[in-house]
Parts: sequence; structure tokens; C-alpha cells
Amino acid sequence: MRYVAALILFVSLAPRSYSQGISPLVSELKAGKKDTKTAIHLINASVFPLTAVLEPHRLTFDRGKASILPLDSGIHLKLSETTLKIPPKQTRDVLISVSCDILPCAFTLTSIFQGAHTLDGIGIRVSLGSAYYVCTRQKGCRDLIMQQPTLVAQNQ
Amino acid sequence: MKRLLALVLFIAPPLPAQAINIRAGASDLYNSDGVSAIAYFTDHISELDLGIENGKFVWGVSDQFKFHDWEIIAGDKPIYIAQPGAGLGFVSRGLTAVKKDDKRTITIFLGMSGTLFSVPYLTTARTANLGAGIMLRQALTKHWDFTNDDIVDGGQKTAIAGVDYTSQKLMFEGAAGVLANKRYLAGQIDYHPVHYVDANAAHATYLVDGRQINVDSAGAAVTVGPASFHASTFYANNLSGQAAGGDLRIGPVDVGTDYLHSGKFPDSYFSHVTEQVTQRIHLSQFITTSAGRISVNYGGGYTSNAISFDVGYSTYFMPLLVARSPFQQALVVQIGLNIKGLSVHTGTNVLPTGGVKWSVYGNDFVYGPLASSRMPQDRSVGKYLIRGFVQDDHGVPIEGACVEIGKAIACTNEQGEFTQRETKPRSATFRVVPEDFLMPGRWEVVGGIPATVTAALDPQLLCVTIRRK
Repeated sequence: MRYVAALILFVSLAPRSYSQGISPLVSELKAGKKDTKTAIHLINASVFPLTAVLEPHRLTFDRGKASILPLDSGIHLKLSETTLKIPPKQTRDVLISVSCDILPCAFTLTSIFQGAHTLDGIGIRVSLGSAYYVCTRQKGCRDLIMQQPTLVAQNQ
Repeated sequence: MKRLLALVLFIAPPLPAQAINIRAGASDLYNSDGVSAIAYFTDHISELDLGIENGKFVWGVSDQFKFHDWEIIAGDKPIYIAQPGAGLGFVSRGLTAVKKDDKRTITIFLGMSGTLFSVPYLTTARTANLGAGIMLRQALTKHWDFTNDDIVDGGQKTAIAGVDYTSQKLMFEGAAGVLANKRYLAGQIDYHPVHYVDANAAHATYLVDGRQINVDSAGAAVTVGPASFHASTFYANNLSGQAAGGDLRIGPVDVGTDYLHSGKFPDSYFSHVTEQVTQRIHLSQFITTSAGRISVNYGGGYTSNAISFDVGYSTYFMPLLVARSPFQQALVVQIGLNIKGLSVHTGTNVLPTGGVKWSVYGNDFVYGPLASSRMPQDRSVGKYLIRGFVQDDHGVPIEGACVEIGKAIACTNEQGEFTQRETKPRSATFRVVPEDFLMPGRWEVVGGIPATVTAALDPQLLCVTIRRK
């Protein structure tokens, strides 16, 4: 019964929470001598203020299947902000600076969007993921990362 | 202008709306100034526009809401003919209904119709006729789409049917019918056989002040490593023009030249050199050779999150010019400011007749009672850190607990950790903000926490313990 109630509540609240967005979804970055820099664009298209929390993870592949693991010391990732309050109909950019001990490497950023704090009931979060591949000049960067699960094992 | 802004702010529905977008601007190019307010409610969007256009007061109002699967617009709705080269746009002041799904978009409107006046800060209309229409966009297959527009606007009738094909290598659009009582035929083809070759050809009909102008064009482009080459030809208004050129990028330097020829007019060469001095600053030099004269001009630009400006020269094909070469180079200035959510743009534009005009406009958001206050946005990745973790009174990490550090907020991740980056090793006030926690419930802080914290390269980990009330 509790699950049914939660489902009804989710469905009734869902129209308020569908208006979030991120870009890019997938990004291939060319590693330079210094840190590689890029940005993620967070969109609040709703008429309610939202809080967004960014969580980075390592992106790994095992026989082509993607999985995410906690970020290890082999990826040096800096975000200009990890928590943002985005007013209605506004967008925010978070700057990303990354370097990897072993190239190529991949990581994900999970952007968790949530509305105002509630004293009772349940809080609904929307998680949107984006993948970043930090590549050398070698061709087929993503394929290389997908086919070399051992690359991850070496780093951990 | 100030009176118009005050009037819009007075009339605009202020409190129930969660976000009100206020736009204001003035333009020599559009010979107008005005203000508008778009209020976003939970279930509808309202817009009010007031302005002066060519010395006359103009207004616009609309309310947009959902009714079953239909989107209903009561009031002004700009209608555009989305056929290749069909430059027809007008406004319907009445009721418009739009239904969209994956394969089909149907638009039906009925009301007064008239001239649309739409600029970045103002959308208004002057209506004089009764108008009605139905417009259909239908996806036939993965690659083919069908479009049909049937519109009556006073005594003017438009009936156009078209198809378009889009694949990775080929894009084709074709349409035929009657556009504002005049015969209409348009087509466009773009062939992209490999990623470094592109070829295109188009025939389009434009209506400028009731005058029908047919424009034919064809062109091709090839990219070879850092070099690219392009050539094109135009024919419009009994005037033809040919252009060819190349561009080479070596590191931060971009060099390009264009050769332009048009009938009896002297041939011209426009060359440019652009240097990317830093990530934010670029410099440009423009060399023009025409009728034996050589002129050199300089430009440049600066781009940051808060301000950007660009001064340069662009080459335009202007078929309505009289007794002058249709290829003209014009000074283009663009300035943009973005300060705490307020954005302001100003710049010059070039008319098809060759005149240069200016515009300035800006927009800002005003928020309702449930919206959060403005929060500063970091413009760089700081190297100094403030770090900590939040746990409950049993030592279990808490995800979604938030702390306020200075004016910024930081919430904990799934490990119960929070991080805030600063560009300088400065101190900031520190407090736990249960009213902003992402997880529900009433929470309180257990034990003491510091009133201020200092950012450092390798900071000490702050520990915060909380519990449910």
C-alpha cells in the first residue's frame, strides 16, 4: 500500500519535475599538457527553483557493459561548484578541469535535481548523467576505453 | 521608455507567477522601443508587450495553456510559413490550437490577422483582417516529411505543399503553390557525400514590401585538414554574383581570402588574418582590394562570462543596392553584458539596402515568493578548498544535507561529503541550513560547529553531526 501511495505521489508530482536538462550528454575531450577544461550546462526549465548536486564517478566498461565506480586517485577532477541553486527558467554552467594519470580515461557526472525541502512525505530527485572521455590524439578513443577494462584495474 | 517599463511592471501579474522575464530595448534598425513581460505560472504562461513602433503605440497580449492534448494560445500567436525560402510571417490575434506528437504537428488558428512585429524585446501586431488557417507537418518515413499550409489572411490566400528528405549525405526540400496570391516555387538541395565535401543549390522566393524577389544560388565547399575552400554563385534581381575563397588555420592564426565578382562592377578581394592571442582575446586585420584601391582595417574581440565584445568586418550580398557592387563589407559591432542574470546586448546590423543600424536590448528575471534568491556563480575553478562531512548521531553519513559557506551552498554527496572551492584562501561564515536539506524531515545540529571556515590548499575536514528532531 505504501508503494502504491508513493507511486501515486510520484505521478502527481512528476509534471513539476520533468523540466530539467543537462548538456552535453557525451563529450570527447582532447587531453593537453595541462589540465583539460570543459563545462557542463544545467537547465531548469520549470517554474520552481531547483537544487542541483553534481557527483563524479569513474566510467568503466566490462565486455562492453558500462558501470560506474567511485572516482579514484588516477583521475584529478575539479568542479567549480558541486551544489547549485538554479532559479526558475535559468541555466547555470559548472566549469570542469580534469587530468588523468593514464590516458585515455573516462568519467561521468551525475546531476541530481531536487525541488524545495519538505518537512513530511518523500523527496523526488531526478538524476541525469553525462559521460566524458579524455582522449589522446589516437583515433578510436571511446572504443579503446571500452575494450580495455584492464586499464581501470591498473589504476585502482 | 521608463513609463512603458513601469506600466508593464504594474500590469504584469506579479505575485502568483514563479518567474517573470522582463525584456526591454530600443533600436534604430527596427525604429522602435518597448518592454515586455512573460510570466510563467505552474499551468500557463502569460505575455504582455507594450511599445512604440514607427511613432505609433503597439501592444500584444497572450495566454498559453494546455487543454487535453492541445496547446491553446489565446491572444497573439506569431505564425510563420516554414517552407524553403518562403519569407512570410504574420500574427493571429484570436485562438490558436497546436497539437504535437512524434510524427505530426497540427496548427489551427482563427481570429484577426495582421502584420507581425517581432524583435528580441517586443512582439506585437497590427491586425486588420479576419484570418484562418490550418498547417500540417507530417513525418512520412524516417527520411521523408510532408508539409501543407492553407491560410486566408484578409484577401490574401496562401496554399503551399512541400516535401523534404533528410539523410546523412543528402538534404532536399521542395515546395510549390501560392504565397500571398503570388505563384510560389522553391527548392533547396544539399549534398554531403563525405565529411570534407559539401555542395548545395537553392531557388527561393522572398516577399519584401510586397515585391517578389527570386534568388538562385549554388555553392560547394571542400575541407582538407586545416585548409578549406569554397565557391558560390548567386542570381537575384537581374544581378549575378560569384564568390570563391579559402581559409587556412595554423595553430592560433587563421588566414583567409575571398574573391568576389559581380557583373560590371570591379572585382574585389577581401582578406583577413585573425590571431587568437589568449583564450579570451582575438585580434583581426582586414585587407580589401577593389578598383585598384587597397584598404586595411583592424578589429578584435574579448569574451568572458560577464562581458563580450566583437568589432569586425563582414561581407554581405545586397541585391537591392543601386549603382553599387552588391558585395559590400560592413563594420559589425556586437557587445554583450551578463551581470547577475541581467543580460544586455547591443550591436549594429546591415540592411539589404546597405544602411547600418543599431540595436540595444536586455532581459532579466524577477522571481515570485517560492523562487530562491539569486546565488553567485563561480566563474573559475578555485584551487583552495573547504571540505567536510555530515553524519547522524550514530555516525552514519547523511546524503543531501546542506551547509551555507559565505553566500554559497554545498550539499553532501552519497558519502556524506561536501566540497566548496574558492579562488583565494579567505574566511567565510559557516552554518548548517536544515531548511534547504534535500531529504525530507525536521533536522537539528548536534554539538558545536565553527562560525567561520577558511579555504586552504589542504584543508582540515569539518565534521557536522545532525539528528532528526
